[in-house]
Amino acid sequence: MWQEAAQKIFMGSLCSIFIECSYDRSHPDTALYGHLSPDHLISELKVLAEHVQNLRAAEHRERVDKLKRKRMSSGYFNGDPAIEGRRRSNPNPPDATRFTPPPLDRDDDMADVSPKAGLKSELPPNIPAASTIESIRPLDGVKIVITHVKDTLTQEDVPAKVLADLEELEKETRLGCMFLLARQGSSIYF
Amino acid sequence: MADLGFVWFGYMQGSGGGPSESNVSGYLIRSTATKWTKNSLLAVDAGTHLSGIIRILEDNVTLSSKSTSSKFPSSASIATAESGIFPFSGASLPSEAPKTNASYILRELVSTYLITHTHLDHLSGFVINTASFTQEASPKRLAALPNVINAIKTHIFNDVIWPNLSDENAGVGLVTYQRLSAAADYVSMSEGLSAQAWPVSHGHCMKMHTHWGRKSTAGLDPCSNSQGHSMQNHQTRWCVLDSAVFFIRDSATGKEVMMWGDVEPGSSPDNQAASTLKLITCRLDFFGSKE
Repeated sequence: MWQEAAQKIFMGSLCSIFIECSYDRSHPDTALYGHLSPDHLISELKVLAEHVQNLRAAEHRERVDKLKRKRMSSGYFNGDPAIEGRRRSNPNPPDATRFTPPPLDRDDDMADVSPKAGLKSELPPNIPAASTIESIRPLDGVKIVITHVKDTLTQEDVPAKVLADLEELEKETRLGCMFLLARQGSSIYF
Repeated sequence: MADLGFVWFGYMQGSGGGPSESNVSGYLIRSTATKWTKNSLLAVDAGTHLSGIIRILEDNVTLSSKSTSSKFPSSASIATAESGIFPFSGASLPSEAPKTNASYILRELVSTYLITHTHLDHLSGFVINTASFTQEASPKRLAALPNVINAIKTHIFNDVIWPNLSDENAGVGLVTYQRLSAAADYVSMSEGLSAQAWPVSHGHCMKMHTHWGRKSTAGLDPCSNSQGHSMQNHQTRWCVLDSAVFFIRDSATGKEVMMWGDVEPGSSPDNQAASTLKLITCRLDFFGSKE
């Protein structure tokens, strides 16, 4: 299921996921009755994120290999570190637009690289693919619409609490997705 | 994302999980790439349905009476009555009265109900709203995975809980069932929208469960394996209630949304190896063997 969704996120066709989060974080696991609370939803989304990362990493490796083979056969790739260094600082990505830019709060060592360049530091094959791929948050641009929050019939705004819980967890996990609340009577446009 | 265009709106008739019956799961979706027609709106779950439509029309009464042009937000966003965005803009609603317009929307603009699972908070609105369906109109289509249809057929439209309004078992034909194959080709649902259904688990039944997949210690007989509950594992004799996930695709753009019914956690403190994917594989196995 998440693999299927990951494929669609990777291809750029899946824009939103409507999923339940019935309770806030204070709710005990022993009384979920077949529903999700924020920690469980996040762990589900982590599974999804991992699949997306794997797809991006696989594509990345494939591209690097292809490039390497092309250069080897054309004699373009000579392994000179000075030349490779210049190439790295002046990338010309053919289709980087598929990916969303790395987050603004990414590691400092990425700060002087333009967003598009973040993807193209793969040019020297000796740089591990993972370092680049991991700088892109896996679910950037995906909107998670939270449904099915159970009302406690008190003054408490449970949906707001659930949203706050999820946003806090998202900060820790850096999944990149945005959470929206499905309030009754509202409409959402994508 | 703004670059996705204004493809969808999911209009929340009800978005809560109870306990109030006026706000349980019900959504309307339309491809804004298409013009309003008789088949514009797809209902996904209908725990709250007609009362939710009435409510939004009442909340938007000033907008609905004068709004004829289609107006959508400039980027992906949630719109409420205060924002001046009216989800039925351009639908040529016939009246000044919210209830009359709601009736029109129900009768004329919604033709298909896509149901994730059989729990009442996802279904009760549809059942009660059948009172406004008419013989003159085409039957409303109830689309779901086969076990959901069978449960509704057996336990709802059975001339006991509710009259048999379906077109099976000598019913009156206001509702027609469409049994969707799991993880099969996309099926056309409404104008410009198609859907694909995947089965997931919504937890073990109350009789046998505890919810983390522990073996029951009660030693009770398992639930009968016919009506919405299915055997997850014959050896350990647990049973689960099936729910569904729908991928809903806009034909014009290829963009999709994924809509879950209720779902239990995929991994458990008892059994970390019982990942979501394993659980779902198990569900697919069941469907494979049943058909």
